[in-house]
Amino acid sequence: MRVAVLSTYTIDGIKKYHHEWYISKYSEWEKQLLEPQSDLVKFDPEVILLSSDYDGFDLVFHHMDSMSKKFPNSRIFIHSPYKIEPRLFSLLTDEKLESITHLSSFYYRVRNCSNVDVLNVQDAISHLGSNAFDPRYFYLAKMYYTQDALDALADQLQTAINIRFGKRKKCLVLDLDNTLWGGLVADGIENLKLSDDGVGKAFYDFQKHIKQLAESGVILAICSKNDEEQAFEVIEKHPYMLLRKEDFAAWRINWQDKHQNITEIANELNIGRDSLVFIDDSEFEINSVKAVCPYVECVLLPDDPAYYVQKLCSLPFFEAFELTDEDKQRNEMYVQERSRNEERESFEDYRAFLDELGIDVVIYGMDRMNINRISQLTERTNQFNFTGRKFTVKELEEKDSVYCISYCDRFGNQGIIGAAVVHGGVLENFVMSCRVLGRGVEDLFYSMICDKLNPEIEFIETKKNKAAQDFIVRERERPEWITIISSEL
Amino acid sequence: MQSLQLDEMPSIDDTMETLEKWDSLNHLHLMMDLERELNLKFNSEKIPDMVSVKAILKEIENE
Repeated sequence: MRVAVLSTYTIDGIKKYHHEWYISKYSEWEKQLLEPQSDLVKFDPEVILLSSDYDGFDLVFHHMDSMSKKFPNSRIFIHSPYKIEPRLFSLLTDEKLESITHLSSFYYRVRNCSNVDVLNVQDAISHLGSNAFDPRYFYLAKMYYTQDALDALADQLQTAINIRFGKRKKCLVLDLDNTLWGGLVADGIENLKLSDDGVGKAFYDFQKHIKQLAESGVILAICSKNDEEQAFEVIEKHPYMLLRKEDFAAWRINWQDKHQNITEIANELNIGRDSLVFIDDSEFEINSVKAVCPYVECVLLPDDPAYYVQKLCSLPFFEAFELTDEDKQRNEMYVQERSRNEERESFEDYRAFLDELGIDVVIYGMDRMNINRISQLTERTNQFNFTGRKFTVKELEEKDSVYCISYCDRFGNQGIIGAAVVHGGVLENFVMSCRVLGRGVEDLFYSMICDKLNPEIEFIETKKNKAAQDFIVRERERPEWITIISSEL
Repeated sequence: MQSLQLDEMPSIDDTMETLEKWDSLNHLHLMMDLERELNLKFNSEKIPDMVSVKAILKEIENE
């Protein structure tokens, strides 16, 4: 990604994550912003971070609107400056109150710029306290923040990029021994460290956070070198297990190489291999998965389980901007999908299976209830995506017509799984969640959009949209096995 | 030696002049890395002068 940083202070230490960086000198940020043919303009940034110290903020703020207009295709992140001078007052005088109101007017103005987001730097940096600032380097080289504070800012910027560019990871693949509990299954269920008290609580709390991630739309899977039967005995019977069999959408508990297992899990769930995060306590396993599957994010747990929760919370992979209903139910849907696939294997004829599924769909126009989900579909769908265009909620509000489709069968409700965006007579994007592909829903929705709106079809090949490429050239089906409950189209 | 992007240890006679990556910005990163490694803090007035291996060693001894 091309990431430009404009700052009123020395910010070179921000380059923690791998990107193509452009970092302006602190004395030049204004020139870079204003000159028509500056290095910044030539760099053509996809992301711009605008970061200021306390004194420079008013000037940065002043340029924000024009900047948003000058770089309409860049995603711009800005933050209010974190005040790190010693506090000189305890009571809020009128003047102090005014400076707080000033900040709220800042947030108000940001809301009107559709490509600008505010980073919550206060939260990221405040826990460092006085370690966020080192006056020596400030006077020597105008370094406003210490490296620790810049690391925290870098984590936050990366999280924000992952959210806005649809790179939120979809699936967490977990080891078992010394990850979900302390000790080895082979040592016996009664000897495992997992409880609501003492060191065992560290594992219990770790599971609690993982469960929260599942509730926010992260799919859970297990990859462990163990005997499957013995492992499930612990998972089902240990009194302090929070995560049970029904919380996992897939598992490989065997003695195969873990990279092999992880590839199989990605295939089974039908998600991209680059949307997995693998967590293990063994450096050997982490390194071997990294070596064979560089696209999987591998996280080595700290030696001390007391730090597991902190480690999990610092990862920039799982935060969502706004949780949709689909997020909250996603893990459950994938668990359902496992039962659906088991059933499908018992049918010899795929068509008979589709009839038996009893698919119901509803087509909705865009409204306040579904707009977040539609934005999310454009941001997160890779495989069945006509143009790769992503739309924020603000951008969607300006489109001529936007429709979405929800899916339900006898195994459960999948919620809104597809969307079409039409503007100026052009189909700007057509996306469908891959978990329902191949059941005719894409054919049905596409033909309805074409029949009713007759838009000009736009198609842009991307590295990942093979499923859409195949669809656009193949013959469309007439899916009589699907029932349209209602349609606003 | 990560802050100066060196493959091997510098010699006792190396200075800002002899090492290509030892520029003014990397100098500060070097100082911060040393402070973190050795758990000490250099005086800000001394930092601009610590631009040779000898000067750095002398300052560490004084601390």
